Amino acid sequence: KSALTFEAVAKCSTTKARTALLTLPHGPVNLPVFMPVGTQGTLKGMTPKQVEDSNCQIMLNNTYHLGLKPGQELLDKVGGTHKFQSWNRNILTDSGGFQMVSLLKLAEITEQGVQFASPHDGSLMMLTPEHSMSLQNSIGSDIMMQLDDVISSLTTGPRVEEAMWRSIRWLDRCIAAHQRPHDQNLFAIIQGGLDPELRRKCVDEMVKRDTPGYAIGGLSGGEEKDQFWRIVSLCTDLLPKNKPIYCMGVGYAEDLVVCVALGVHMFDCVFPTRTARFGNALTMKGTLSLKSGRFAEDYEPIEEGCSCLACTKYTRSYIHLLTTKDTVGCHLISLHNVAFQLRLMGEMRAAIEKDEFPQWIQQFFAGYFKEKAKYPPWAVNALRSVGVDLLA
Amino acid sequence: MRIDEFYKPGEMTSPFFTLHSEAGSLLRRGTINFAKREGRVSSLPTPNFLAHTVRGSVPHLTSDNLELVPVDSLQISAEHFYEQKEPAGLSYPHGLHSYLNANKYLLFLDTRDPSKHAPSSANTEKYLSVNTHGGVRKITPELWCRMISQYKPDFYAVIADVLSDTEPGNKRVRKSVDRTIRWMDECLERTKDLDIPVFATLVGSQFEQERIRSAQEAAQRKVSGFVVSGLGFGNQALDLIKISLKELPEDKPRITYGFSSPESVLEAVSSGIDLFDSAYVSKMTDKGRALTFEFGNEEDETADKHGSKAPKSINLWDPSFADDFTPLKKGCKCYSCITPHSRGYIHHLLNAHEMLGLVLLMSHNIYQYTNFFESIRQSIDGKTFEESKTRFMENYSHEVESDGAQGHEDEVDANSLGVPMKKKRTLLL
Ligand SMILES: [Zn+2]
Ligand SMILES: [Zn+2]
Repeated sequence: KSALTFEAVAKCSTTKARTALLTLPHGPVNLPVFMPVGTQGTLKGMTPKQVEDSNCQIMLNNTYHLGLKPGQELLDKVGGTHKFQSWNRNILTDSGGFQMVSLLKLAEITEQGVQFASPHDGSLMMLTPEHSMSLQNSIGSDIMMQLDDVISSLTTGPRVEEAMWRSIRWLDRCIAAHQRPHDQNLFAIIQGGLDPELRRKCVDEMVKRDTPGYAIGGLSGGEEKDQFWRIVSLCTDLLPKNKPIYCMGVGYAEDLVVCVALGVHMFDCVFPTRTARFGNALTMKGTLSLKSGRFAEDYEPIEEGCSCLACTKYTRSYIHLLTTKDTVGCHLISLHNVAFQLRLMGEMRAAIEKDEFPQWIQQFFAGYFKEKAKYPPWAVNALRSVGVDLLA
Repeated sequence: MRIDEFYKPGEMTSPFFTLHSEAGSLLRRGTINFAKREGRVSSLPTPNFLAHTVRGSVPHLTSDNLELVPVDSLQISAEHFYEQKEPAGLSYPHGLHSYLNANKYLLFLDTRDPSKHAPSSANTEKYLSVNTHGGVRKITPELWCRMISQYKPDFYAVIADVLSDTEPGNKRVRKSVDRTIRWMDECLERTKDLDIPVFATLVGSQFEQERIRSAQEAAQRKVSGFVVSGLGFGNQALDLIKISLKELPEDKPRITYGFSSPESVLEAVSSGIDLFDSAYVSKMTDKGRALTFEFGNEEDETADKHGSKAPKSINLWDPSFADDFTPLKKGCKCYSCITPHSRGYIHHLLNAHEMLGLVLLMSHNIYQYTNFFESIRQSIDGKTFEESKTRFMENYSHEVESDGAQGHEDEVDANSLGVPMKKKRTLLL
């Protein structure tokens, strides 16, 4: 019932950060990992060869989008999304539910599933846990996510508990409906809002189901960052130490650093590739808005020391000329931003393995925010909770 | 090859252009020879094309993707670099090759973008007026020469008072010829120490006498080649170009614009043109089409043997490709076809408005275009060009490849997202 192996590699002696080697049906993934998002079976203009050359080991596809185009019938015909997009490394898919709730009108959750108005003709449709599994089985992703009862992280009252129990019931239905447990891994999603007791109960129940991995769901929806990190930290404390933990929708550099320190292994976010389209390049010293005229005669690379194509072969000035006008400009910044996210994770893994992670964190914050007064207080609190005092 | 032209006693370098065909033959095979530079090809066999670029990059292709295509030379349009107060990269000390990460390519620099024929005739005695993304810019001979000496292209055309009105008056055309000659003399004088081969641009619009005058004057100057544009002249273009060509010396290469479709390339090659632009490739790519035609191949499978004419390209927007999991063209060795990325996947990418669709189409199309020119050269060498050209004209359809993105309706398989709750119950949204 598991199509992965998880080998712990190193543990930080101060924080809860850990490195591990996750082996999935389409190859190894070094944890902690950032997964770039290729929503519709392609990573924003990058060829699979370019994605592979950037050492990306796993990317994300969205079930909702692939279900719509090219559709399940075609995915079955071609034999899954790996073949379809000529990507031989790993793929993770979401359940489709979250995108329906956020993208579609009239989305409503009942015990049966997520009810929504068809984006095609407006007729009423229903996505059930069984159907989500069937779609993800057709896609053939290496990691598939259960359908969960998605509520806003700002929701309070009995609805939070209802969503938590329903997500557990739906997990059971997903497990029962999953056709390919031998070569696809189904991850459970921990719900329970901002309530530690509910989170505790949810972890208890879901751990009993012994899924190959766990995601921390229901966060990154506008809640206070101080509440966010406390829930993440609680979940990593409670979840088993021999399985991967995935925090959904997290991708800003400082969030990644904090969550790694709290013991999370996997992340995804559309931000790095989306922001590239607007000419924004991510660096260890913050974001460069390459549209700005101040780069017109700046002949430095986007980021010194970055080994991506954009940084080794092009200047800021030339990318400034292209950005937001030609697709090539967008491709170059996307290449860099993906390389940046993967480099950030790689540096963290190396620091954890050398047991120098606390020093690395200090250095990262100093470079990224420049002065201590600008460090986000929530990050200071979160890191203090795992023994790193940024303001010391 | 005529040995005496290739090697002159007492001179260590070969001439800029070597003609391999017999003297007097309109159909030409040649080689353009450039000074040897580290990491860059130093000769360009002709007939050939200069890959069309936008702001110095082949549309949609980052340099690593372009490297997968056997392209040797790029056409750079100076107007793309002059959108802000100063031309981009003008203060960059290492030249245009390095600025564009195009060290392995031969760069040809001209003023205007040959893929578009935008009216902009507000030129004056002092400057050329160019309509850019950033507004109207004035290019004086002085600025032009500064760009050449900073950018250091491998060869370039001097600025010219090219008119883009369809039927300019006789007076305006005469002025354009005079002005073009004057600017040419000024630019030649200013750049004479640079040792970069320079091409003269021929003008004269629709007037035979003015075309002849422009060509004769240019032919007397110390230039290495000629640019003669057919843009804006419609069906008359080839006839007008032939008027200019008659006045030119045989031993210098000729570039033309506006003849990039396969049929017009073949006609212009027959008329003695050596270098072309590749606007056709960019245009087909933007329409979502993949080139599938072949030239000079006896076993051409794309051409229909049963009488009806084969299309030269396929429209990847066509839903009939949705479940076609074969590559764009059987036997093609481009990145897209050998990976292989299937027609079905590329159809999906277009349908999903994903940029990778255009990346894969462009890399295939430009690859096919290099094959086309390679076949043209082989057929000239093998003396089968006219025969192959006749067969090409017989086998393929020559209607405009018009269908593409237009009229496209998104294909969605909404049913695969879930189960319909109640049949036929439609909500009014
Ligand atoms: Zn970079
Ligand atoms: Zn191909």
